Amino acid sequence: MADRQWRGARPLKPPGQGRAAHKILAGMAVLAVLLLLSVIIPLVAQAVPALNAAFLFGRAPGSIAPEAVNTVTMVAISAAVSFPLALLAGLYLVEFARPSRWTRAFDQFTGTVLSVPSIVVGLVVVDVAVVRWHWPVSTLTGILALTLMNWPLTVALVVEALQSVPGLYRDGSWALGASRWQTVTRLILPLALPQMIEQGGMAVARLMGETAVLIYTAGVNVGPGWALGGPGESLAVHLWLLRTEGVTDLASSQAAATGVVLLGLVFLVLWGSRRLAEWLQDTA
Amino acid sequence: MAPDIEVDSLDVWYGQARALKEVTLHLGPGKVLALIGPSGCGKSTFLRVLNRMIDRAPQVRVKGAVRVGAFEVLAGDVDVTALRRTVGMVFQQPNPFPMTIFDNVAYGPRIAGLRQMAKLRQTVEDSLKKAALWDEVRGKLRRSAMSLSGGQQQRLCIARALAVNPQVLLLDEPTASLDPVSTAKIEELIVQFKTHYTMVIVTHNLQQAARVSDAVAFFEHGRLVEMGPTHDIFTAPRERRTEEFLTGRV
Amino acid sequence: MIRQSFHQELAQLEQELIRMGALVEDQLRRAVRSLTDRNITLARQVIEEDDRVDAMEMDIERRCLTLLALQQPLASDLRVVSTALKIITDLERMADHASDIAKVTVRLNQEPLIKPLVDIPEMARIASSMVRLALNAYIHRSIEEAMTMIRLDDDVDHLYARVFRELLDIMRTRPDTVAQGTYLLFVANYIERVADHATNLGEWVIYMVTGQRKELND
Repeated sequence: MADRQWRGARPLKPPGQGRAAHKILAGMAVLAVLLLLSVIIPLVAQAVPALNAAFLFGRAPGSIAPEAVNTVTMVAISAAVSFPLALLAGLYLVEFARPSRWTRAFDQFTGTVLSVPSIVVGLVVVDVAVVRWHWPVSTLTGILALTLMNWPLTVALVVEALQSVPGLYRDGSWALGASRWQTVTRLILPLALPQMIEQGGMAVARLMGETAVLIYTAGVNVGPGWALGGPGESLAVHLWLLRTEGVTDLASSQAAATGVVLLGLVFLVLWGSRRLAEWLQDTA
Repeated sequence: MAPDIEVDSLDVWYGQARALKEVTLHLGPGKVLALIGPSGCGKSTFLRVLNRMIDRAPQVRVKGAVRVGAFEVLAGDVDVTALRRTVGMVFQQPNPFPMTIFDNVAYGPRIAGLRQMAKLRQTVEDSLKKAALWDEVRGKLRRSAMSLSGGQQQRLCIARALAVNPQVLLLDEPTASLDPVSTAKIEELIVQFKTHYTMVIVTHNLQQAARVSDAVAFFEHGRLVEMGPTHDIFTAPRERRTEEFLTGRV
Repeated sequence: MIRQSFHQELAQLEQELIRMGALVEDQLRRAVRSLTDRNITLARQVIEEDDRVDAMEMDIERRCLTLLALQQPLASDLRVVSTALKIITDLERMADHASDIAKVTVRLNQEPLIKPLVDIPEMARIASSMVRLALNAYIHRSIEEAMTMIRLDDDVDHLYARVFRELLDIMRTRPDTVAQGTYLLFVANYIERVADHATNLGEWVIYMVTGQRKELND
């Protein structure tokens, strides 16, 4: 009996319950991919008639090149402003500040802003920047809105990445006579950076798809050329506009094409940040 | 070379809780002191005062006088960086940094400003030799420290501490997470280090304390109940509390 | 009480030790009685019983080594075990001396004594009471009892010196008594040795209680 059991030594299989759970999870993953494809494939199919060089890169009206530029620049500048600031704030909160009433208040504030609908952030920016400061509805105002919206999330992800570095490493570094600053720059940041970049990519991708906050701040028009004070309609806003107010026959295929471009940009950002994170992880 | 340690009426509070009460003791240069006592008795707190790692505990207050060689440890103007270079520490959980073996050992010297590669190499090699790890890692210095076994990681941490040329070593339950063979290697190192370094080791393993230490201090509820030569404490302690702890009649 | 089973084993060890001590004391008493009563049967019994003492010594020694290896006792526990190891050696020697005395009884057979035995039984009485007192001191963990017992050694030494002189005088005047006189000298010497071992027991009891080793046997 025992002999027979052992003769064909096979890798152990997970017990029955685990196997069932495994199947269910695998099934759900497959389902999710299928759902995604069922959205993307018709979208691409619909977009094909509109996807041409003139539409993508042309200077004539109807081309989405200005929207693409607006999207990339607004998101990039916003990220470029908010990431360093968030990094400083996060470093202060995690590595330097002692837990106090002030740091707790900050956490609470961040949490609150994170849960505010983005349209509300947009309206607040309109109320302050456009109405009181007389900023034009423009790229600049859009950047301000995006930055305000993105900032708490970025701080949160920086804090999370820093906290994911075990305290044991800090102990080890301090015990060798390293200062807090040295510990952060030589040890903690290099370890936390990949996670920050990967999650930062996700935050940027989210900004790219943002509409509500931009409609009243960056506007629904594009100017003749890109300018900080010029109108700053983004791809997502353009898509929304085409869908709600589309008048031309081509509206639906143009909307689909805009969606494909936006999707492409999002994937590019996600993929790029993931690769960068992996590369940093490997060299660290 | 190895300094003595003198502690006079040391009190430590965490908020309202008093972690150490009126601890006074003296440890001669190059001696090994083992701190024993039940969990939460204050022995780890005592250890962390000696290199001021206690500073990072929230709401901590420290009173009294602690001298390690020429360092007035609790003085306001003490150079904590210099103190920590002189008083090295090894932790309960091996905590090599997630980088190469070489970078781990070179971390301290680099922090201290050493840049010359030749000198760094020499320091790393010397430190690994002192920690009896050189033979196992030579030619593999560019591998990740995480690829080492638990016992090797702990010896790497010892090498890392030695690389900044300390005179005192604090060991906080250094073998608590290791297998018997790795434990024996670490104990052997401690015995070899005697006279070169003054050492304070926290341990829950009484036999380990008996094997490696010259003196034993028994802590209970934040008080130093009794300190004496290892042989005397383990064969005939003076205090009833020590006796009860050692014989398991608590 | 955390290490309950260990402390039960320690208590058992002490019981065994006390039983061995009682047997040795008994052996000593019977050996001297076999001499005074000229009872060869009793003497043979004593010689045979010595094997039992040896067996007990080995059993207790094994227990001690097991406890040392498995329980790694410390402080008073360590002293109890190491004291037991030393005490059984002394007890075993005492039993050997009892057996030696019994052998003298057998050797002398029914040969008339060259002098009535007075001081030798007295020495034996004191020595065996020393053994009993030492065991009591051990049971009670009493330094005072141990010290009292150790003082009795002087009386034994005193008597030994007297017996020695007397026997020497007899042998000097009557050379035909030399053989028996020498045997009796041996007996006195054995008893004196027993008293010395009893003194050792007392010293071990003091060590067990205080952790201090004192040489009181001068």
